Amino acid sequence: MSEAVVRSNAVEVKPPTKKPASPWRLALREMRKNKLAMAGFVVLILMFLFCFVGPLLSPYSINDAMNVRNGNKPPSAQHWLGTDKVGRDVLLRVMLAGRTSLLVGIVAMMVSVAIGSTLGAIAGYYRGWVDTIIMRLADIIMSIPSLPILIILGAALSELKMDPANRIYLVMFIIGFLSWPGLARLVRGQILMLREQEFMQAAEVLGLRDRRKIFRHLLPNTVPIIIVVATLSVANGILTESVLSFLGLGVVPPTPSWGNMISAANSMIEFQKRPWLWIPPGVCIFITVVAINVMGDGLRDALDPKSKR
Amino acid sequence: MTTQVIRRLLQTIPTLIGVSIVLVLIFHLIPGNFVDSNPTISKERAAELKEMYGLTDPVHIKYLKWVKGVSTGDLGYSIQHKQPVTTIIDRYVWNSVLIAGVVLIFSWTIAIFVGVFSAVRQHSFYDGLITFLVFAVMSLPSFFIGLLAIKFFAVDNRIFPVGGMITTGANYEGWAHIWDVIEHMFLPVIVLTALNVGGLTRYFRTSMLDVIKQDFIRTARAKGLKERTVIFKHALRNALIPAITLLGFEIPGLFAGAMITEKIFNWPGIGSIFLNAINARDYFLMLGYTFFIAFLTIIGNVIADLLYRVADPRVRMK
Repeated sequence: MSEAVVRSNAVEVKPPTKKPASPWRLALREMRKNKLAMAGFVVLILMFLFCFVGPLLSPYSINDAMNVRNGNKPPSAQHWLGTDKVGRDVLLRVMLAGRTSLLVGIVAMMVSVAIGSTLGAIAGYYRGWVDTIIMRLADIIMSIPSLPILIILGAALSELKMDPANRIYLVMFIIGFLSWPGLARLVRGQILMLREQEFMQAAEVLGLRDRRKIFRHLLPNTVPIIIVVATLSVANGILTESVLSFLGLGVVPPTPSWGNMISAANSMIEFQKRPWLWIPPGVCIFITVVAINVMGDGLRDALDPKSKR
Repeated sequence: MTTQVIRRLLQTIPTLIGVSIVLVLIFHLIPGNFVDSNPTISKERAAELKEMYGLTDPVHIKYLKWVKGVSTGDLGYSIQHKQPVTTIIDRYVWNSVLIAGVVLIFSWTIAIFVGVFSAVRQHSFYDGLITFLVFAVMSLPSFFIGLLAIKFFAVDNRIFPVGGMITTGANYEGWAHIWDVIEHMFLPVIVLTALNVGGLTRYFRTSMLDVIKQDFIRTARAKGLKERTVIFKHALRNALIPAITLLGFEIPGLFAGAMITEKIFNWPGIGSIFLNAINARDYFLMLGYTFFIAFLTIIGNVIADLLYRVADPRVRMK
């Protein structure tokens, strides 16, 4: 933290002979002042290291033979978080599950951002009937309760006997597809405002193609809003995936995810006597989502000049 | 005003039609049905049942039949419960409304007070703590916090019952029955209130901060009014105006039932009935429930819109 302060001071002291601080630099400076958001950012990095580097440091690996005799052991020096019923190390499984859950959150976010920002930009740029159709579609998807639909689609995937390895990609896509309308509305609002500004008249005079105007000149100006929404939607994706997997309708075993690890609690014995099976993944979900939400809020304050506290 | 209401209601019709098309399409495309997933039914009987419930119809016929039913207030027939869907919804939805209503009252009360104090003492230690707590409760996975609550309060320390709505076997009457239900409501209400209160607190805090910075608050203070009068009589009243619209958005939530929480606490609400319907592939019940919630969402939006117009005369219909 102290280093950050020194650096941000250095930026301020710099003589203004060169170019003035860019909006990005201002946002970064604002962000560094927000201790809570920085803490969230650090926790998030630690969580990524835990999930992606942690398994490499573990003495166990997924390829270890299952050993039922070594199963259901409480936490000990060898197995910090105990073992599950087939003798797999729970700590390793929590880390691997984290890879799945984080990945689902991130990919779902990318799907949602890709669809939401493109459709929002097109609606805002062309207006008229294109706008009406896209926004009506957004209204429809927003009116349909998402959790019931996700659950129904999850049940359909189970009925299709989908291969577990491929299934997680479908889960990511479905979660992402149902969450784009919110972003589309925000982007559309911004574009409606931006397209009336002078630089767009210049783009018009230059005779640029529509595609170039939308993707090179309009959308980049909405990036701050997109970043904020994207960050928060990763948290949302992780939570949604965990609920679905907990119900057995999202990511299914053998692929571990935080949600499906917690579903161990559905059995009475595991729930009462073996809390090490389901409490650690729940705590991981909680920590990750808090970190993302806190960081997203900090980003919002830093990037959006209107929401200054 | 009347024309505005009518116009706003007419605008919802295309959305409603769109929602119904999307829903019927989804339910048409998903594989499996109640008849096929039940191994005790013979082949001839299965074909007969499918014919009877219209499971073999092409999608547009299915849709028209269903819409015809909906327009007369008939959401179809639940094969699993052997009763019309509307009867099922009517029987269980009130259990959900009971919990959701109590949660609504609790979370709004808590959120208003905490939000106001945190705004009045902006940037204080208390404000920072509240901000962090708000994020913490907003980030809780509902099923995990439910499980933890059961483990701690019902299994390890037997303070509250594990689940359900009444104690099985004990046929309490009168006050004993009411107390029994309250006891069973405790944990789910606490969990749901915790999940709800975060977002609301943030909302009231922001709204209050906007008001406090305005000139009329300074005037009120300059007049020598007590700080309490300034905050609660002058500021809070104005801060609550935008919140009125939030009430409109709460409508679907009031009836939707908290699916996950109801399942975990074994509460006989509409949400857990919906989850059970999935395992039985009882499509008419699922479709009816989903459409019911979508309908309430759309109506809730209209009400929110209209309330906002009433509360803030500056917003005018084009």
